Amino acid sequence: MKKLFPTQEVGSLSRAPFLKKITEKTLEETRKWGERLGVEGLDRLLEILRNPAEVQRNMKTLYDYASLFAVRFFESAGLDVVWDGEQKRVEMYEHPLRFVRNFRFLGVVKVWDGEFYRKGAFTGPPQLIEPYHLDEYLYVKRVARRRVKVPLTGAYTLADWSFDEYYLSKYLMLEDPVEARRRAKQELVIDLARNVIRPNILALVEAGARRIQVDEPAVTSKPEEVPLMVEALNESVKGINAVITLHVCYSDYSKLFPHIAEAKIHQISIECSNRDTREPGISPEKRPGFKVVELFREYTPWMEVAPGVIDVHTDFVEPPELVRDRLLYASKLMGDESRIIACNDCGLRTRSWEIAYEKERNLVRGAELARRAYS
Amino acid sequence: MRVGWFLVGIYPRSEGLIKGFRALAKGRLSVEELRRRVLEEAERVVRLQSDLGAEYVIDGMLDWHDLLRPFAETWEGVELDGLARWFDNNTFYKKPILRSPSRRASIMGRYLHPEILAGMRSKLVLPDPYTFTALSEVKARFEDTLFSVAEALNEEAREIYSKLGLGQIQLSAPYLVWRRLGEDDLELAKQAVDRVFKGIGCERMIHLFFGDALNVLPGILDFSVDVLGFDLTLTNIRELAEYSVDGGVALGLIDGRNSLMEREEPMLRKVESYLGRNEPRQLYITPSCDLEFLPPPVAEEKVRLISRITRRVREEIA
Repeated sequence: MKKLFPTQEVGSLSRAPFLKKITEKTLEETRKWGERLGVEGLDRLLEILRNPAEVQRNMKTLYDYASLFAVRFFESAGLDVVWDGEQKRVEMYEHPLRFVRNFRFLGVVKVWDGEFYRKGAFTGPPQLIEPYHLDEYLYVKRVARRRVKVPLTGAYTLADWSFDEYYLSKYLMLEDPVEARRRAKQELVIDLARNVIRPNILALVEAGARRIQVDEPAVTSKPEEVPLMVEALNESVKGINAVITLHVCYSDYSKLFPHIAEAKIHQISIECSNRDTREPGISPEKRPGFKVVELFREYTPWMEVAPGVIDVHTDFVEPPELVRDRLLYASKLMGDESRIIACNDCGLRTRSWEIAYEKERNLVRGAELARRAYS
Repeated sequence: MRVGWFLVGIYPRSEGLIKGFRALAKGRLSVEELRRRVLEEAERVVRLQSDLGAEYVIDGMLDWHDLLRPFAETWEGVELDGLARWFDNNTFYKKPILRSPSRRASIMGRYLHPEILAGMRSKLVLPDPYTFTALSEVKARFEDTLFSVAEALNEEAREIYSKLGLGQIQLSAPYLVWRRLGEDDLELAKQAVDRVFKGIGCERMIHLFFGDALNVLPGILDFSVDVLGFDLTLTNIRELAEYSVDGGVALGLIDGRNSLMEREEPMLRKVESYLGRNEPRQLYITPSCDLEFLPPPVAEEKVRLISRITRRVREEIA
């Protein structure tokens, strides 16, 4: 019988302690977490970290250790589906685009206040230089003791967060500037899906990956382009034999409908707890963040929904009872508890390991309480 | 016909300055040191505009985290909420919560740097009151709040105008064209703009960006302003030219959100096609919107491009 409320993470985790500046404090943190998580080869790692020359010589090994720590982190917390917290990635935009031909980084742009990202432009049709998550996956596959889900950034978001110096130049002669931009964006997104995302996913699946998560946080920023994201997503995963999850966070989810029903995906992972109350209970007043689940019941009843029952933007650690109530309420709205996955709102990158670990432990405990309610 | 060019909003910060703001937030940099860095960079932005012959110069608005923040932080009856998306950009602003907004102190000093604009014809960029109110969480009646915002902006504008002798005040009004507003809403927006510009003697401009100007045409022609600014990356210039503008126009031909450098000839042809049907009193060439969405080197290249296109328009008209 299928396990109710299986637990999974979304992707990122802040850097392992030893990927920061190495001090006595980080060494101690490394030792503490290594022992707590039962990480293999901890003594060897500490030996490397104590010798700066060894650190320089063993950077790849250190990143492997970071990946191992993160996998054990989620496994030790009890999650059913794990990943390595994206320990080997710069971040979700810059990392993949380093592996794309006909793209150049131009400089930093502000996202808000002191936050920024390195933004670039497509200067020709994008081509994949080499699959950029394959090494990560092969390592995680080798060490993981639970099922693995590989997150990657989708074509629409990569295009939307970039400049376009190639496709738009083909259409600027059109009298209607909106139509010129629409055609340019359409071509760019679909080319990215076909030439970059799809081969990348294929390489992962051929290597054994059975769960792929496509992240598309940009999708609802231009509601009229939701159908384009769906088209690109379908192009990216066409004929792929894997469970496909779409992750969309901090968005107006109503804009996804009805088009999302056309997406060839098995699961959708969404953020709910950031807009929810912290009070226990399964009434609409206590659970405003989960109202969107009704729309999935109406438009995509066949789809699994992974509502975030953990808010990753606060140090507040959700008690298991709150996690349980969020899952029970989501099940009630979905009308089918077997289609609800217990998940975080988003990646845990902004939280300390201590807080993140407590949150994940309670995610697992809360899911267990919810299971009991159905036993 | 007077032909010129100017910028229409926030100029991008360098990577060093962005990191400076981050360091300030983490307590690793003093306010004084950050201010010194801002002024140094602002002087470069001013010099760039001045050397290239801008009609009016801005100080770059480098310490404006977003268009609304200086006011949200300075006024009474306003609090700051969490982040919200700035239209359809991958950029966010802190949403103001408006209870009973009123002006307590001027944004001058902290957010404007008149000392580096001395002796130049400068302009002031303010948020359009309807845009400001609509992008905020309003805790009282919308209409009352709108006019409180307009009143506070008017006080701000009058004080800065009297102290700096501005050449132009621009209201940035993306909300008016982002989606089509109802007639009643547009009328409210017009009255609020009138309130802001009351007692202002310099050139008054409203800049409409992030949307199609046809969303507010012909209603916007009744606004009491001297210059209407349009985002031509989202507005069809041929359709725009169907509407006769009595005063000045600012043609936002250069895309402030894409690094692709526009070719001069097609831009000149667009201007030519517009002037074939219209004879505005002033013609300004501008970016479509703030340049803050571009890395600084790209923004600088776009500024140079705008200046070149303007020179060629002048030559062709002559």
